[in-house]
Amino acid sequence: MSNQIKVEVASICQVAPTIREFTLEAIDDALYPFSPGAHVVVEMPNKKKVYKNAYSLLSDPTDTQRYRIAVRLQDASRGGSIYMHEQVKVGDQLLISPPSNLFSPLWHAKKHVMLAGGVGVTPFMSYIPEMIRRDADFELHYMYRSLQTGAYKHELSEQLGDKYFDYDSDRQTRCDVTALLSQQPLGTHIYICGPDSLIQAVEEAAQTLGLPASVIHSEEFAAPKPGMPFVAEIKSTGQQVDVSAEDSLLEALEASDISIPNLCRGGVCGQCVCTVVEGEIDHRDQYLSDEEKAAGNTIMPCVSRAAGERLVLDI
Amino acid sequence: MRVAPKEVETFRDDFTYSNSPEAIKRFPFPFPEDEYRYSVNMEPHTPKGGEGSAYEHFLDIDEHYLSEMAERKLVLDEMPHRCLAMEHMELACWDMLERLMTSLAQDYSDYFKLTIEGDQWTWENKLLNIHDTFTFGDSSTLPQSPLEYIGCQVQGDFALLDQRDGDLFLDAGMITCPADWSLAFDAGMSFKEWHGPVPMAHNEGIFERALKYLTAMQVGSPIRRLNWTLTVNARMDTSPETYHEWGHERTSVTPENVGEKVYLRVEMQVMDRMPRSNALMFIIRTYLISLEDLATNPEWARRMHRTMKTLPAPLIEYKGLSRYHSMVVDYLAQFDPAN
Amino acid sequence: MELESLSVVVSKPMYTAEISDGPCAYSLFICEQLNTAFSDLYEASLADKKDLIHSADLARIEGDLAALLANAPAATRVYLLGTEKYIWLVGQQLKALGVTEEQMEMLPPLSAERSVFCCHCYQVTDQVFTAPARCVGCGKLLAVTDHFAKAHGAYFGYQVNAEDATDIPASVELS
Repeated sequence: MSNQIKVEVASICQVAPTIREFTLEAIDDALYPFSPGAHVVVEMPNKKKVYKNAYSLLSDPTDTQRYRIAVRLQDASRGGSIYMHEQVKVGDQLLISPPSNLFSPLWHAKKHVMLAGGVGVTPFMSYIPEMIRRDADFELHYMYRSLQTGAYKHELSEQLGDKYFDYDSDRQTRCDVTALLSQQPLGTHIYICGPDSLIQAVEEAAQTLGLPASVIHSEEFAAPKPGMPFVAEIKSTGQQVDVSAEDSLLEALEASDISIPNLCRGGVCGQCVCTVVEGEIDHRDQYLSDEEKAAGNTIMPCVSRAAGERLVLDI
Repeated sequence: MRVAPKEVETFRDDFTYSNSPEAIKRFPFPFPEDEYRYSVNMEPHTPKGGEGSAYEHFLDIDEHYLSEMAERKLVLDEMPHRCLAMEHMELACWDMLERLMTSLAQDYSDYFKLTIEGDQWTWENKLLNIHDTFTFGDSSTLPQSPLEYIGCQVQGDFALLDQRDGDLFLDAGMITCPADWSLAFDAGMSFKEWHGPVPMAHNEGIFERALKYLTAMQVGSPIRRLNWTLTVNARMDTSPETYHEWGHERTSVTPENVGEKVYLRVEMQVMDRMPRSNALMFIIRTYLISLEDLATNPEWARRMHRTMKTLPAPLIEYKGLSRYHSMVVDYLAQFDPAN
Repeated sequence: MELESLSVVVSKPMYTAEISDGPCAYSLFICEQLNTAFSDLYEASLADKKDLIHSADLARIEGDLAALLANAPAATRVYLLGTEKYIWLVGQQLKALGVTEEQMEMLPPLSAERSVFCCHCYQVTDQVFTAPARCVGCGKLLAVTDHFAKAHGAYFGYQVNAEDATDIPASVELS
């Protein structure tokens, strides 16, 4: 993607035992303003593969001088957070995507109830200043384990007063989600950012009580899924095209002077469809139907990849 | 701008609108292939076609600028409801104002100038003799609402779509040159609702795909698509509101006048994510060219003949072409060697 | 492709007589005319608290709703019965008070009549059973489409003979 923004790490601070906060400042162009709940995808150039992780912006949306993100150290299966914690130093440069937002507050709500689990407090950090400016009715329910997480709990408690509720499972205080939901007035919207188990618990409680699904919102990151390198073979010429983890199949074909008609480059328009004669496909597009995907003989090279090490394309 | 704005021409009554040879050359011809096919023909809105092309800049200001701004004023004076913004769209309107002013000042610095000092903004539009200083975000410091103020200085119609729950809602807009749809009626509708009357596409899942793509759009990566219809006479305001005034013109087409009377109407639709509000801005920039001007390019005439000939009946009906479609096909046939 | 399937306008609301009867803490029944089926529905409701509004007067309903829903719980469900315009205009009032469309159970309208929005003068003509229909605002004879706006509770109408004044289609009954 050519529209990435180059930023410099201006400061790093430990905000909880396993969470570090990074302040990012623009190098060339000014940063975009953003809307509450937005995230950026941070690209981490490692030796073997580029990690791309999505992080919520936790600064005040009106601040275009800097972005702040917080990264929780995850286990080894998610390499990006280890990289952020161990490799990234003040003064380093990183590439980030422009902000996008799939977790925006619904401003027509009569009341906003935010449920944060651990590092899931981050998107709400950008909600809160705007909610205060708009004089919106809101509550933050913050669930964490003080031995690991719980970033910003003191400032939030101080700033929000009786709008703030916390639950520390390392001190055996837990949130009764059903009781919480049953007290809410008509017109309340519920926002959840945290582990799947929390999202599920809230959804189940809502269903049992009879709350409409459309007032329950949870964060979904649209982070590009990591890809493994593979080889694409061109049937007509026998040419071998190496597709690295960072490039799409379409980009790799173009780099080898094989041009494929294309428009959206996002798996929607259907222009770049190619026929596959050999190899398993990891379908990531919105264009092909489920039946076409199951048949396994067409691919949208702008977003989809090989599920194995090799694909043979009929071009 | 390679084509300087001409004096004001009219899009109604005596229809003095005309395209210069340069404007014909840069016309955004919409048919990529010989047969008509419905598709999600979206592409990144990045420069294409080099200097002077209609795709050179984010916004295309051309020789019709003054005429279109004068026409817009006539429409709004008569029907102020053609511009509306629901209360929750205020921030999106400011987003739009910023995006349009910034790109005009950058791409057409001879005509537009923007000076920003904190939240004090000074805007100069030399084409319309406008020079104002205002406080960004404070509507009381502008002579009109932010949407109307900037909308009346840029060619094209504008809609602002609020994004909620994975859907897009038509909650604000300035629509003075639509191809037969009414903002007053459609305001507040979801993406699928306001596309309700479009035939065929719903069955093919086109709107589901388009919606998924649009809701995932990022700031700084605008996209465009071309849409088209035919219009009798160079009439910009083919709105339902005024249909009783222009509908009869569809019966005025004859085999003798079809080349000069029928215009290909192309909409360059640009969609762009607004950073502060997360709204989607939808620009509908309309271009008109008479069939006889279009036929000065033999390849266009041949391709348009083949496209018109294979146009499915439901689309002929939906686009309102039934009364004169066959005359268009017959007229264009002379430019197609296959006939 | 089937021609019929091409002509479906997706903004036209669909109704089903099957009412979803999930759990809720408060249920509110609103009708323009009360019939036995609706009062049976009200009687059968197992919600902790329930109310019934029977009125055709939208201004009065607006006042009642503001009072009844001021302290209503998030788990509220509303049942609506009336003409199509009535249920959608009450629906708009409910929406403004925080009720989502998902929480509204709209029963099939009591008659086939439509309200028609005139795109020329923006007036809505009620009780339209046949098309074309005469606009109460500007007097134009309107074609009645299937394109529906919830905000107006009405279908889109445009002058039927604007292209050729003599070309007036035969009257058809609306369904």
